[in-house]
Amino acid sequence: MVRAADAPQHLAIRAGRIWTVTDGVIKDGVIIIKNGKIQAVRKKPDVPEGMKLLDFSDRDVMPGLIDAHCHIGLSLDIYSEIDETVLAVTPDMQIIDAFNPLADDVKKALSSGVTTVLLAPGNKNPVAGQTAVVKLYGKTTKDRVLKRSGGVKFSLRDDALMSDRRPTSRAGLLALIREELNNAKTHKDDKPDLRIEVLKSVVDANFPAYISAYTVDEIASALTVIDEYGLNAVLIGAEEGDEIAQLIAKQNIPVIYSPVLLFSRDKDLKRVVKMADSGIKIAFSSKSPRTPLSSLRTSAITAVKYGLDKEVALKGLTINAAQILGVAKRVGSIQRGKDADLVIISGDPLQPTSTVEMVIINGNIVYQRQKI
Amino acid sequence: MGFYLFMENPVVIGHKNIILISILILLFTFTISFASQDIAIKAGSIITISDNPIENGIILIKNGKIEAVGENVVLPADVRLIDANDKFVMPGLIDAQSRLFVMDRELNEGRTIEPELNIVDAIDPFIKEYREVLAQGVTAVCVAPGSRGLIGGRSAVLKLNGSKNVNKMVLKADATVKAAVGVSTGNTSSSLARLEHYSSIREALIAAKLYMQRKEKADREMAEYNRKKAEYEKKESGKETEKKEKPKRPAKFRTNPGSDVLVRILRKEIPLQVEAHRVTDIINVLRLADEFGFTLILDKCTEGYLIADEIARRKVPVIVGPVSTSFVDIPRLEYRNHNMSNAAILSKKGVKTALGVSGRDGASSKFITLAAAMAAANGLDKDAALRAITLTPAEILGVADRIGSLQVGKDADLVILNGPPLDIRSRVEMVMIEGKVVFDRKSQR
Amino acid sequence: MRTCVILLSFLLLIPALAQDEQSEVTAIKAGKILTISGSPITDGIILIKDGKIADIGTGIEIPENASVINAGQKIVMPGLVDASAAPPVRGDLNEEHKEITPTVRISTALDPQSKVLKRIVQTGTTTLYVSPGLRNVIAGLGAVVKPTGKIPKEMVIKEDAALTIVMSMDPTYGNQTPRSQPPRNFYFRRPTTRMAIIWMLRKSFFDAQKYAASKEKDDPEMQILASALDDKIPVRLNVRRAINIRTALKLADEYDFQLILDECTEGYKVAEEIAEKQVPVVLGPFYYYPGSLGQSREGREVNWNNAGILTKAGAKVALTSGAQAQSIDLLTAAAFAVRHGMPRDKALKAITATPAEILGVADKVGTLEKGKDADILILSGDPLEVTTRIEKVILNGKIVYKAE
Repeated sequence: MVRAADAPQHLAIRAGRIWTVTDGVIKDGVIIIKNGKIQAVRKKPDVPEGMKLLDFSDRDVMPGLIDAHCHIGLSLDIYSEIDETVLAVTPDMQIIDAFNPLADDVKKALSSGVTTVLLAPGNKNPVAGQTAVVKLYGKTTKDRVLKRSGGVKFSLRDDALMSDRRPTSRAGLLALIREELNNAKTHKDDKPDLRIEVLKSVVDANFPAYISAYTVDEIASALTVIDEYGLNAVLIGAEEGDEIAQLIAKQNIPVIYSPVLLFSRDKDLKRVVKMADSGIKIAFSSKSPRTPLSSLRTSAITAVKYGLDKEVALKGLTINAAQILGVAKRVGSIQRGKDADLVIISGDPLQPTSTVEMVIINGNIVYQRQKI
Repeated sequence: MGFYLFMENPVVIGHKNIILISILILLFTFTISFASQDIAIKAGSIITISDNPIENGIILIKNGKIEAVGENVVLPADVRLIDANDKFVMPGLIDAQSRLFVMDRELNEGRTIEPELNIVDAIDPFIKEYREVLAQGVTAVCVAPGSRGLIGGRSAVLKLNGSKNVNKMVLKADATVKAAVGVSTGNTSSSLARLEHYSSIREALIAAKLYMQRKEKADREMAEYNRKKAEYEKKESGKETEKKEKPKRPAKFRTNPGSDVLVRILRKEIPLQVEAHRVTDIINVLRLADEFGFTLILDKCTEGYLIADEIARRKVPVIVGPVSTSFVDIPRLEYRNHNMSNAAILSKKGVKTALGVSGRDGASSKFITLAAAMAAANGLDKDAALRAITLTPAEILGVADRIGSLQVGKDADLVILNGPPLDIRSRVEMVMIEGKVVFDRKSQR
Repeated sequence: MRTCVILLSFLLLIPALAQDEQSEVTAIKAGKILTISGSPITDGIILIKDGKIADIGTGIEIPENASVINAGQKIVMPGLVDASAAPPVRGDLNEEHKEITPTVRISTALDPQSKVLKRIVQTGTTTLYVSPGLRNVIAGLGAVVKPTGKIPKEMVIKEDAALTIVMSMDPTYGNQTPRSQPPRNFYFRRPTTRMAIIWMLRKSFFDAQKYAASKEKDDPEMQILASALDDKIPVRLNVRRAINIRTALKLADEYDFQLILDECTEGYKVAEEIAEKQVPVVLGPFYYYPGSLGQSREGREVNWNNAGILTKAGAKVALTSGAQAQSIDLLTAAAFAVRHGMPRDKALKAITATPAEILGVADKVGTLEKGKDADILILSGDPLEVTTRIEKVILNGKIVYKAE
């Protein structure tokens, strides 16, 4: 891996194909980068005088990939420290406080082409804490952290049931969540309480709720709670979502899908396709360390193999995630004004034989493939 | 049939009956000839694996074997023609690290040495997932006992021919004996525990060596006894009345099935396939092979890329898998230094490298092509990648005389695709095993 | 390709559009219809429209394009109502972090993909009551559901149907740490005795009365208890021994709530009092051998004549599967009850109209009457014959089970 050099003031990248995601594919175009931002995306291969040129005329360029749900950089060991299970409800916890940008797994992940990730607590707390959106590289915190607090993570999973603290049952889990949301709603401002403030912003101020729900009944419960409290919500996992896809689509709830390679039966591999076909906005995730960040692109590729439209798959890796995470002004496509987060790849991004050759974040080269 | 009727009932057969009888005769001869009919596949691109690809060639199949393959093949008069003019044909794929046909719980006994266990006894031919795997072009799998047993038992190579008779599925029983060292349970791995693995295996092999020597001695003594007995009996029936001692029968040698298997390993009759992940474990296993002289296959070999020279020097073949840790459940300690370029690095250093899916369940074998494509994306030559899921595993597992490439004399196990195999858009159109169509996309709805 | 699909779908729509004018009607012709609400109808017809019974009787005109189910000489009866069914719920039924959990609604944990639903339908049950578990003194709210629907909401036909309270010994189990161990978790707590259970109940009712009298409105737990005391939500009290039954009756008088006795194993000992107070009884499975322990270690005397004795005394009795997945099915339970003294017609009512009334859904289910849901069973013979098969189960007008 090449150590990040000082960002050149001006940088031009010429590419055989530029997958802008929002404006189609540009053949033999040039991207002009200035001060870490995309200044221009040109449809002609001509490069202005005096600019440092990266010539990838025989390669493809795509936006940096966005992993919409993972736990990278949060651990000291192979198992992450992502659950604070002593208390069931910890909305005041901010996952960004556990993030180590110099962690081994973060550095290793740069070769995957993922440049931005949503960090979240795990599934063991019904109300787990605040998510964050970070880049895998940044000279300063400002460069690296896109959202210090992006939303509140909720879990409707069985993992959230414990035998030594509340809740111990599914019905108890839902009663607890309703209790907390009700308390937040009726809370009087005279008594400052950080925990309730956070939940209040979820019920009153559209602060996003990221809800982990995999099975049909979990998703249905999530949809009911979302409707009841008028939440601005995103489903995480939604593995069986295809069975009630119309309901999810009707409530306009986007889905951050589980890693596709966690499944091996054809029936399960097609679920994400069915959901996308029903009009649900899908973003891909790795759930690292459950699967490595390099599998993010493989998830999209596998979905394509089982019928997902290629364009939708590409969006699921980039702009969809950016929009769901609320960072589309900065990342998610190759457009003028956005951050210069780019991946140079040896071929079509949705072919499994394509290799990530170079990764650029904020105009800095953070990874360059070594020949074997 | 018609003649028979004619003879039986000497009645005038009217027009209607003649037509009916003719149709019956035609059908009869048609079905007979269909069964033993030669098949010719005309293909846009034939990927033989063993040689260069053939453009616009023909494969001729007779009695389930490849009779001819090339650009100009003379076709017999009566042949069933399969038109794959714009398609790709390649040998049926092989997943050398499969869990198909065995229920997960049945893959492992305890952490012990049980070489006599045979995976064939755990095969359930009624498991339905194999159809999804077949539909992705996999025609053969090697299934072995799991990673918990130090020496877990014998593996087998099976064909996905849809037979409900296990014996008819088995291409090769006792393909290898599976062992595993340094595999952790959960998140911890004790160094002391690992040392124990090696000492147990070494102990077992030493004991097998002694057993082998004692058995050979007992065989010799038995042969000697039989010779003397025959002499004695001959003399007995003769005229001479010499007082001759009746030879004493040697003590019966009690055989031990586990030891018998270990002896076959020591005699290099069956390879020992050892799952090893970390550099220390791989090196230890190489040393074991040096010490006892058995044929070694390195399985998984996660950190093999760090000591590729050592492995290459000893000419030990490797089955690499999983290509990505997304194929396994929660990555354990031994996958910490997993590198997707493992196969590429080993291959470039001259190590004979096959790829396996090594997935979380039986149906995962369907991802073998994806695994090969990912290995190719990470430095493995594309041709080498295709070879790593066909001919190379066949060679390593000792079934290359039958499968693994499209060559004259081998089984007609092949896949017809509508595009290059490693392209994600390509679909498997037809799969054949021994000349029989076992999957046809057209009839799947 | 796409235009072809659009054209085709358009063409297919046309007949569908035409058909909208008259929605589908199904007619069932049967040799004997047991309405349960009145006398059996011989050679009768039931007309079903939009999932409801549009008409029932003899000599009814069947519309031209109705689909007809001809049940020949078979017997037709209402879909069965199980007033204490095996719960189609995932995971633990008990929220065990404390004993008083009135806000726990078991309907939020329903699992439409639960495997018990298949057996429930196959044994003819079309309406069931699902309760929280019995480990808490005040366990939460149960719901009346049907075995249909993709999501929990679609299953529920009556939310908050009753408040489950437990006076049997179940809440005392697991409330002690093993000897020599320090009390380390929240399981170590009251109650460990009957005395404490009753104390907790009285305290809760007392607090609820105080709450109702005060102006406060924001304690959800108290809100529910107050509703129960106000007769808005019936109380399902789980009791087994006679002593507890008597206590339950006394409490119901004292605090004036609507009482339903659940399980009631020794009900036969207190039959007159139960009948006199007009308290309905939802019986648990009573096929345990007399003297056997059954599910709990609580000593109680099983008597197979329980249902018969209670009925003869004039009590309203429903027969159930006692919230267990492995119970004998309701039809067999009814036959068993008849064998042991329950009159035939009461036994059939005990698995249809009576539980429907007790659950408060008698306007929808429990009998075959015009306007009610089309939940219908077609049987090969007399429902109380053990050799009778359920041939078809119709739920909301649709066939959901056909015997092979």
